[in-house]
Amino acid sequence: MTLLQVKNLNVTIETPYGPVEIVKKANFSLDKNDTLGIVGESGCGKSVTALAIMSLLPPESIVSGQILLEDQDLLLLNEDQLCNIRGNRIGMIFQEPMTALNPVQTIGFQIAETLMLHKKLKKAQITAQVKDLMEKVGLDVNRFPLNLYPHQLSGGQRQRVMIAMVIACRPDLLIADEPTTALDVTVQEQILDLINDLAQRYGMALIMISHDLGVIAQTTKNVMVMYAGTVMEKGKTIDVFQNMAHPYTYGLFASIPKPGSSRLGTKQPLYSIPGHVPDLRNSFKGCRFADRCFRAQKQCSLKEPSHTTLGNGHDVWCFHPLAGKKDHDAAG
Amino acid sequence: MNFFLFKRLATLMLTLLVATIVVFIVLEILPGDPAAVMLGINAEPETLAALRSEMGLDKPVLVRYAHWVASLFQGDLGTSYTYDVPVSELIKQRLSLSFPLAILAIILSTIIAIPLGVLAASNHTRPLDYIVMLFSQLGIAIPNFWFALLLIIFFAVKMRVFPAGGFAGWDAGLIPALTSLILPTVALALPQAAILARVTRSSLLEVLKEDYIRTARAKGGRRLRVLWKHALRNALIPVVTIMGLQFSFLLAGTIIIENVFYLPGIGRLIFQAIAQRDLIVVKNLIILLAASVIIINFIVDVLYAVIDPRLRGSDDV
Amino acid sequence: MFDRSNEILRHGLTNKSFVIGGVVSLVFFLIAILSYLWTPHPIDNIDIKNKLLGPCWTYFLGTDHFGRDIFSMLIMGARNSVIVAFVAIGIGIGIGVPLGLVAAAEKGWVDELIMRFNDFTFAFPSLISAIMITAILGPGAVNSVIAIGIFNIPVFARVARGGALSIWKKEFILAARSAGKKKLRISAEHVLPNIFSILIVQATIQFALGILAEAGLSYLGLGTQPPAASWGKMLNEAQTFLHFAPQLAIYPGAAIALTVLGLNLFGDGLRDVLDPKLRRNR
Repeated sequence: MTLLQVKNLNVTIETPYGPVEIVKKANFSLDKNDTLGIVGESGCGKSVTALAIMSLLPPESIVSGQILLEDQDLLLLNEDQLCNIRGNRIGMIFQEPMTALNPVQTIGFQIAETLMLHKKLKKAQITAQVKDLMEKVGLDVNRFPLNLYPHQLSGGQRQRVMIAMVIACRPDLLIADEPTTALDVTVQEQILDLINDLAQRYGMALIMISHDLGVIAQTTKNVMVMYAGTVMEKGKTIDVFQNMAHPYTYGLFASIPKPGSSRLGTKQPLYSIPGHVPDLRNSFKGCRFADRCFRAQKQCSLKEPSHTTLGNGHDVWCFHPLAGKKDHDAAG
Repeated sequence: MNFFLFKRLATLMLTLLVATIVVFIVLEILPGDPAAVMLGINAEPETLAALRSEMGLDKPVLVRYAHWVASLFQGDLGTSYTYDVPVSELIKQRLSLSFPLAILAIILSTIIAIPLGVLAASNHTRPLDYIVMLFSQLGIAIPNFWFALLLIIFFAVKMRVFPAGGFAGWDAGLIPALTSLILPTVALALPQAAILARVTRSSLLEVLKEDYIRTARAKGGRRLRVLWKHALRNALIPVVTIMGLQFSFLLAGTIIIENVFYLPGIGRLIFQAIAQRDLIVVKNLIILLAASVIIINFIVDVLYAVIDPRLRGSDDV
Repeated sequence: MFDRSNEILRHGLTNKSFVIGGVVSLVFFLIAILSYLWTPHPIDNIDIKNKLLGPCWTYFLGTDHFGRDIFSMLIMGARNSVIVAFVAIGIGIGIGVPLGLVAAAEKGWVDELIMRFNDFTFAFPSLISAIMITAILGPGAVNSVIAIGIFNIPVFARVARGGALSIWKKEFILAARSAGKKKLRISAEHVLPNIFSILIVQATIQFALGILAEAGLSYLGLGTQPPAASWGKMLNEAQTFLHFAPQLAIYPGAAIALTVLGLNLFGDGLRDVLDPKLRRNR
């Protein structure tokens, strides 16, 4: 059953240089209990998409399209109705546990607040639930009393507090925006496991936003690749990872070093996509990746790329998608 | 007691000590013979000698200093030369006006300034914001004693609703006493409120950009609740600093305003004492004023730690 | 250097606070200078027959209780304010800036000592200093200059130290140090020019505060003494006649408020123009 359906989502921000389309025509959906990864370089619009779902974009941004949570279009709700959804039906984990927690409130209060906002509970019940949540995210209440302040915790511990806060009301949808990027490598794995585990245990759908393909592979069943505000490719994670069709997706994969790959052995330099992420203030007639694409032809920068279905829900927006092993080898 | 508090306390004590030394040097040593200053050039030699011995001027400087500091601790500040009453009595009596006046002004300016600052910040770049900013610019530019005169012209001379000056005294009953304090309180509080509103606004605007504000909204917190529970407390940290710094302005303001309204408080006393060259009163009043600024700054430092748990230091895990 | 001042001017002309504040401040300075060349009437021209007049052709803004010309006194008062505020800033910069530079350069206990001295000086608002000075020397314009100057010292010391600390982290300082220059010389040659703009902005603010403080001290009788004209003194004298001639209390106060408003706007604008990074929220 479909939980979230995003149709033709456009996000435009007014700047002194004129309107800038930071997300253009994003379409995707997510079933209950399902997982979706959104991957791309920084500034590609993945966080903006997430904030659009939360309706937490800065007021100067203009959002159009539809964001359906079950049958409700979130873009049509007023602030009051949105407050009943945020934290209650959709929860979001942010990237920077250092700054995302309030420095002058105790962690106990910050976890309890989600419950106070959405559930009518007695004080004792809330305290009991907060303690329970702390245990669930792996913080021993005896070692971490509720009256601690965020600055007394490590980055990983803070992110656990953040997770406890977000899952407190068992939302239907959990959005994790680069939840491990700011953490030590050793902690990253634990936090990802925790998020995955909790999502499965409580039947929460998960949107995992990351620039790290490894994180996406580990946590999601579906993936969507974004570049400069547009969706390039989407499908089952396994399909996209094995048969990447978009030259950009190919570039993303080629630019991570693979242990044991022939490339390391032969000391070939690591692949990097030529050029830079385009300035979104420019207007685009065609594909936004055309300038940097090794398969680009004339038509690519003139017309918006058509949409090709490769079957099994694997879609790509490209005039010249890579098709199978032959193309991959040729490109490498 | 933790190290933070200990360090602040030590600094406080040291600062107070230095303050007494400075005041002592300026008012007891620099004038040469304070008794001669007090009595003027036409003084009779016998009177002069009597005053000298009463002030202990015949003793060595260090003894005089030690004696004065000791007397400060005991609260026995000697006898005023002109009023012929104990200085501590005099101060106590005058404080019964100045202290309530200052407190009323702080309360009034805070209850005006903080809501105004919040209002401006939550209506950022809208007309209400500009109105508050205009009020604040005007309040900073208008000297409080001129504002006081304008209040007198309007409310006392033209409308005749409040007295133009003087103090009914607490014995006359609470209502008459407070009525005579209304204009002085307003004259003191509004210019302070203008500065405070401005600081509250810009501090709140900074805080509203923070990640944890977004987190609180992502939890489903309504705008006002987030402002109240998450933003305001963080925004108050710089506001408290300014309030501390403002205390010295408030003190100066009280001295001026008491003179505008002919209120028999500390500020008026210090002027009368200067006019009568009563150095005994002047010396003790100045150390009292300086010490109160120093102590308020100390309290502000400690208040910080209450508002901002990161500064408490010692209870880190 | 020329390009930079051009750019500042171009930026500045689009900044409303800078333009409005600049014009008001400029008019104020011009009036102060004008006082040396011309006033409608001499300010010590006592004309008891024409006392407490309203505005008329001979006396633009009327006369006070001695029959002196209000307008002329306002012009002389502007000069008085400029001189007191200027000298007080001179004291603040002359002592405060070197202290701040040394604190930033030496760090450690020197820094600690200077900063404690700073905190200490803050405990003596200019009014209290002025009272102390008056108690031993008697009232006079010099008192207000010294008292306001003393209060300016920690302000400039703190601003100079803050600015200098950030400059000391820059690479060109490292280059100068590796060239073997002494700390004091680096402070004078490299640090000072780079904190010049924040000092100018602070000076504008202190100028406005100085005018307010001078007015306050003169109002209390601790500052400028008769027959010299001072806006604060004029307000003091006007208070006696609030019932018959309230206008006497209006003009000098309005002059103070307008000047301070202009200077503050100019200072705000100048800060925005010199340092666009600070532009937000002010």
